[in-house]
Amino acid sequence: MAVKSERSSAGRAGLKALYHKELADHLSSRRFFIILLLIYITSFASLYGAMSGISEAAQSDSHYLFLKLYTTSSNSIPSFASFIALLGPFIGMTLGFDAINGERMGGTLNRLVAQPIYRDAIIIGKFLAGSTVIAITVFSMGIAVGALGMLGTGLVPQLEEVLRIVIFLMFTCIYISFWLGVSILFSVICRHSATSAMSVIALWIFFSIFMSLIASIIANAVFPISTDVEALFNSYNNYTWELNLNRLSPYYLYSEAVSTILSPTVRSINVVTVSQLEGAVSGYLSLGQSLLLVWPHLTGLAALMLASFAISYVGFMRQEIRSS
Amino acid sequence: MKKCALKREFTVVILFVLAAWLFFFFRPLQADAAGGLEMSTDYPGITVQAGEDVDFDLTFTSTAGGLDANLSIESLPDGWSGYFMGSDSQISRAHVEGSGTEASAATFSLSIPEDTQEGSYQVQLQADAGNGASDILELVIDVSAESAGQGSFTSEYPEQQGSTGTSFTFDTTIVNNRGTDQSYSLSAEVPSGWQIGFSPSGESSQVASIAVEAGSSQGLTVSITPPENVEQGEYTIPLTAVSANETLSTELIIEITGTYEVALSTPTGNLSLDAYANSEESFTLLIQNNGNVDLNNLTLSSSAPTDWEVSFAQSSIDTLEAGGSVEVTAYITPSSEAVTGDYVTTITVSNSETSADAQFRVSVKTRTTWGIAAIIIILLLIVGLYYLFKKYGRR
Repeated sequence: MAVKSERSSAGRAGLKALYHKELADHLSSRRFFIILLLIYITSFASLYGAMSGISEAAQSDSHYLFLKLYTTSSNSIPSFASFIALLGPFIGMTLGFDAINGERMGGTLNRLVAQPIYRDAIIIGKFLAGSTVIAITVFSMGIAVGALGMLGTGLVPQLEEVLRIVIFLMFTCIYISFWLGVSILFSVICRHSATSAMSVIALWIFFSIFMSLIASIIANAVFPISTDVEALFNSYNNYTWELNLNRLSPYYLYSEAVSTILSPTVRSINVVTVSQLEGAVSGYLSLGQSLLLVWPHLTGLAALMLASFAISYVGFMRQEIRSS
Repeated sequence: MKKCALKREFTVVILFVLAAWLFFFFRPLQADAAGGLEMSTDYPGITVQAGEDVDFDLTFTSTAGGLDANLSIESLPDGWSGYFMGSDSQISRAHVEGSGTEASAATFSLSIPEDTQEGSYQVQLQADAGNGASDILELVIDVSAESAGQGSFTSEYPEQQGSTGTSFTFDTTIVNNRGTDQSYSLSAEVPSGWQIGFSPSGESSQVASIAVEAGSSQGLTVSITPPENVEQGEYTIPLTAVSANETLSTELIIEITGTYEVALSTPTGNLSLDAYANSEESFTLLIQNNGNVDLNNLTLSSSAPTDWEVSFAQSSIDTLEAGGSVEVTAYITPSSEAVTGDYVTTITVSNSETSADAQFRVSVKTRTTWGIAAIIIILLLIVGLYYLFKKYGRR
C-alpha cells in the first residue's frame, strides 16, 4: 500500500511537472505567438465590423444589444462568433498536431518514458496543457472583445448577457479542445508530424466547407425537390435530412449552439413549419430555455472531445515506444 | 210791539233748532245726494271664481272740503278676507281732497276662499270721516259655478327608454291657471340611488322651487340619472309641485333596457402561463356578468394554434345572474410540435347577446429532464474515461 501510494504521488508529481513544462513550452513558442496574433487580428477586425453594423441591428431589435457585438457581421467581415467557429480549430490543431510524433521524431519520447513517471501522464499532461492554453486564449480574446466593444459603443452588459457570453466562451473552449484532441489523435497515429498536420487540416476543411455540400447532395438524392410536386411532398424531409447530416459536423454543431446562446430570439433549431408558427408571438427565451434548446449540441460536442481524447489515449498507451 | 219782536226771535231759534235737528237726523239721507263723502268703484258687481283674489279700485270724492276718512269693512261673508291697499301698503285711513274732483287713492283686495259655494255675496265697505261725513259702498260678488282654474304639470314625453348608464331628461311644463302668482316647491319619489334634479328651461342651475306668474306657464327640465347597476325594468317616478294653493302631480316612466355585458379574465388578472409541449396545463378563468340582465347559455370556446387542445371543465354556463361571476377551469395542451417560446391563445365566452375574449400568452418551455439526461451522458463519458485511465494507466 505504502509503495503504491508513493508511486501514485510520484505519478501525480510527474503529471504536474509535465503539465507545467508543456504550458511553458506553448506559451513561449513562436508558433503559438503567431497563431495568437492571427486570431487577435481577426477578432478585432470582426469587432470593428460589428461596431459599424450594430446601429443598423439596433434599429430592428434594441434588446440584448451587447450580445450583438459577438454576432453582428458587417458587409464583408464575418461576426466574431463565425470567425471563432472557422479559425478556432486552428488553435487546437497548432497546439496538438505534433504532440506525440514530434517528441518521437526528436527522440525525446524515449527519454520521457524512461523517467519515473506513469506513461499516461505524458498524454494527459499534453492534453491538459493544451486545453489550458486554449482556455486562456479564448477567454482573454472574448473578454478583450467585450471590453473594447464596451469602450467603443458605451453599451453595458446585463447579467444575463454576461452569463450568455461566459457560456459561449466555455463552449468555445470545448469546441477547440475537441480539435486539440483530434490533432493529438493524429499525432499518435501518424509517424510524421507533417502527415498528422495535413490530415487534421484536411478534416477541418472537410467539416467546415464540404460537409454542408455533401449534406445537401445526400438530402437531395434521398428526397429530391427538383420539381414542384416533389418539392411539395419532400421539402420538409429534405430540410430535416440536410440539417441532421450537417449536425454530424462539429463545425455546424458549434455554430448552431452558439448562435442560439447568443441570440435569445432563436426559438427553435429545427425546421419550423407554418403550423408551428401559428399563434406564436415574438419574444425572448430565458437563458435556461436557450440552453435547453442546445443541450444535445453541448453534450454531443463534449462527448466528441472526450471521445477523441480517449481514443488517442488508448492509442498512445498501446503503442510500442522502444521500437522507434 | 216789543212782545211781537220777542215772538219773532223765538220763532227764528225754533226754526234754527229744527233745522239743526233735521240736519243731524236726516244726514244719511242727505249724504248720498248732497255734500260730504262719497266712496265708489267703477264696477261694484263682479263675477269671480272661487279661490281668486279680486282687487277693487276705490274712488273717493268729497263736497265738504278735504277730510280724512277711516276705512273699514262693514260686512264680509264667512271665511273671506280683504284689506285696503294704497301705495303698496295696507292702509286704514285715506285722505280725500275737497275739490270735488275724483281721486283714486286706494284699492280693496278681496280673497275668495276656494271652497266658496256658488252664489251671490255682498261685501260692505265704509268710509267714515266723522261729523256725519261717511259713505258705505256695497259690492256684489257673484261666485261662479266653475271652480278656480287648476294648474297643470305635464311632460311632453313622459315615457323614456334607455340602457344602464343613460341619463334621462324630461321637459315638463307647470301651468298656473290661477289668478295669483304661485311658488311651487318641487319634489319627486325616486328609488334609492337614483339622482334627480329640476332646473328651469334653458338654465343650468338646479332649483328646489319655482315661481310661476298668474296665468302663465314655466318650462322645467327634469334630469334623472339611474345608478350604474340598475336592473332592467320599468320605473315610475311621481313628481309633485306643491304651492300654497294647489298640489300638481305628474308621473314619469323610465324603462331601463337590458345591457348584456360579460367579461373574461382570471382571478388574479394574470393572462400568461407556462406550459410544456404535449402536456396539459390547467388554469382558472373568471367569467363576470357586468350587465344588468341574467345571461343564459354562455359557451366557452377557444382559438388556439394548430394542434393545440383547449378544453374546459364546464364548457357552457346555463345562467349567470346579473352582477355574478363564475370560475371555470380550463385545460390547455400545447401541440407536441410546439416550439419553445410564446404563443397566443384566445379564449372566448359568448352567448347570443354578448361575448368577451381574453388573449392568453402561453410560454412553451422545454422540459429540464433532457438537460439532466445530457449531464448524465457527460458524466458517463467521464466515468468511461476514468475506466480507461484505470485500465491503461499505471504501466
